[in-house]
Amino acid sequence: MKDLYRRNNLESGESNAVKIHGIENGFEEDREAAFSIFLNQARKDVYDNTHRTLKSIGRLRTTFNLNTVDWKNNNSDYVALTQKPIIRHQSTEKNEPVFQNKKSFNEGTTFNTNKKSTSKIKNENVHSTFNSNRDNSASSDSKSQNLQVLLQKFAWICGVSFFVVIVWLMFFGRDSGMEAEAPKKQYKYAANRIVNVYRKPSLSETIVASLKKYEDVTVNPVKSKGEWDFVNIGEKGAYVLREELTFGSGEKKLLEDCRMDGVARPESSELLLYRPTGIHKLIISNPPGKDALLKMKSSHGKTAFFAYIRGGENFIVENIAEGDYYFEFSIGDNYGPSCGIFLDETYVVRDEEPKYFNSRLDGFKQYPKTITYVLKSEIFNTKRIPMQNF
Amino acid sequence: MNSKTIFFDELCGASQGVDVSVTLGLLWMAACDGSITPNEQKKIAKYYNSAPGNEVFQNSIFRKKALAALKDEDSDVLEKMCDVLKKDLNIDEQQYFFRLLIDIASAEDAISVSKNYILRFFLDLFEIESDYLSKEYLSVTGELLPELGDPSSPLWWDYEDSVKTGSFETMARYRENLSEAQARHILGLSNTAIAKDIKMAYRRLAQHYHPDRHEGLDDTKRKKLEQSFLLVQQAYEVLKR
Repeated sequence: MKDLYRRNNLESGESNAVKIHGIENGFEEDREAAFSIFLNQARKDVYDNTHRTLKSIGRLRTTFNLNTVDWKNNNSDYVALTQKPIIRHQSTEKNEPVFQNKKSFNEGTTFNTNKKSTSKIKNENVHSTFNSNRDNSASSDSKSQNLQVLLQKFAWICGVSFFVVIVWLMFFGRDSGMEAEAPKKQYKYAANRIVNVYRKPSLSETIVASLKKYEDVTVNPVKSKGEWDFVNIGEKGAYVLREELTFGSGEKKLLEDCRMDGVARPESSELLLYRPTGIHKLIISNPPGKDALLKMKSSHGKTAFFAYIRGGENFIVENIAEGDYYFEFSIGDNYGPSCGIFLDETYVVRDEEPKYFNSRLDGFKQYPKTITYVLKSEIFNTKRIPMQNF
Repeated sequence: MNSKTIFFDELCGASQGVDVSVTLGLLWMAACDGSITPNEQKKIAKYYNSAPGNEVFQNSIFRKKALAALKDEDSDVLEKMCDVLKKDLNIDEQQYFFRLLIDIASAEDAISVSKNYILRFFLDLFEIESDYLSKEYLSVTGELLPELGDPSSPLWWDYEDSVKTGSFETMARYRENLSEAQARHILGLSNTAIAKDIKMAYRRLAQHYHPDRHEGLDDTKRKKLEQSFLLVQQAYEVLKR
């Protein structure tokens, strides 16, 4: 299902006149649908309810990693971009609910919380047993006193031995190599161009992700098995063949490799990658200071163009295709042409808010859209990203 | 953290996290079409009457707050609800909860697109096999689960209108004048689908709607089923040309 509100820049409560204006200026391919739905109250009601539900489901599917290919294909307008971490609600042992299920649907199955009451009953029974014993037996007091003295002695011995062990470890443990040390995390990076990440340590298992060359990962040596390193990717973690990872920082290695190929300073008019297919125009403005690199990417992550803009210069890109785009830019010194990044004093940011290139039609002519984009790291929606992901 | 999240936490802290989540899930299903119909109310009340120990649903303040949170699409509340349902229910309980949802979704004559989407979402959330939904829907309601509709498509609305008018002649006319785009929509195919995709989609739907596969249906349901089957056949014929 398409999000006709977003595609036509409309809000759900707007009047019909505003809607007609919005639809006329929106996407041509959605015009027929928008007219036939927004101007028919019965259809609009059904559409609005489904739209609201799908927005919630889209966010939930992203949060719970349920965005299957089918879902993305049919409801690409309702795929949330960012993933929020799930904070599980805290329930103490005493308050933990118990869900009792009776399998047959017609037998009046209940979702009751009975654990609390059960544990209460158990505690009461324990207390009553303990009390009755004390009342009935005259010698139980002296026995319990002896037990208390024994327990105190035992606790004292335990405390002293613990202290002795700590002192011994402090003075001798280090020299004798017996220091109790928790296994440390290992920091590695992908050594090959594309490194597959598997659900379980076997080449026949499902591939859950892939790493680009120089991408950093954290390895958990405790969970690593044989020739496989356990990496913290996704909720549960996954496995990568050890030979495809190298110790160290991917970012440092990337810079080292790029430096060997030398540096350059292209002209602002030089487009490093360009796929012209449309009618729209983008004016990029780089304030005086450092040079910048700009990448415009489609919502699928494909780069539409890649440009170098010198500090204090403007640059115009024409023939941009219709659609939503995300901007990623980098500012720094010493451009490495072989890697397409700055090698010194560099930082890379991504503008989380997409820019829409959509044409306006008046029945006779199609008017292109022009967007001016100023390269500033202080833009409201920018987020710093690793250099390797640029 | 907003006030609605606090109210959820307060109730969960009072040992009723699962009850709160189950109730929220049922209310979400019932209220997703804008309001809760009397039939849906009856279905929910029927369940809660058979579970008198459950205090959550009896709490009118909770009901109001829950409905307000669902109306505002409060993602925090929905996320917490799903998290509890996924992690605190065992497989049997999840399947039972799913049957409750189907029961409420089918309270009215036809299941709405929103409800259909919610059912499929919970199916994926609980990692239940996809066949389970159609089987359970048939066993709970005695009817076939409709394919997912697309209320943003005028084609879908045309077909819905012809079904609502109920005249099989209108449907037959619609069938005869089926365009290629409509046929693709009926088979759930994109513009890039190749011959193999078309054949697979046809086989899947033909199996789903074949009258011989569903014995014991009354005359009206059988006729509806035949019409759907003929429509799928016609869509395949159009795309085969």
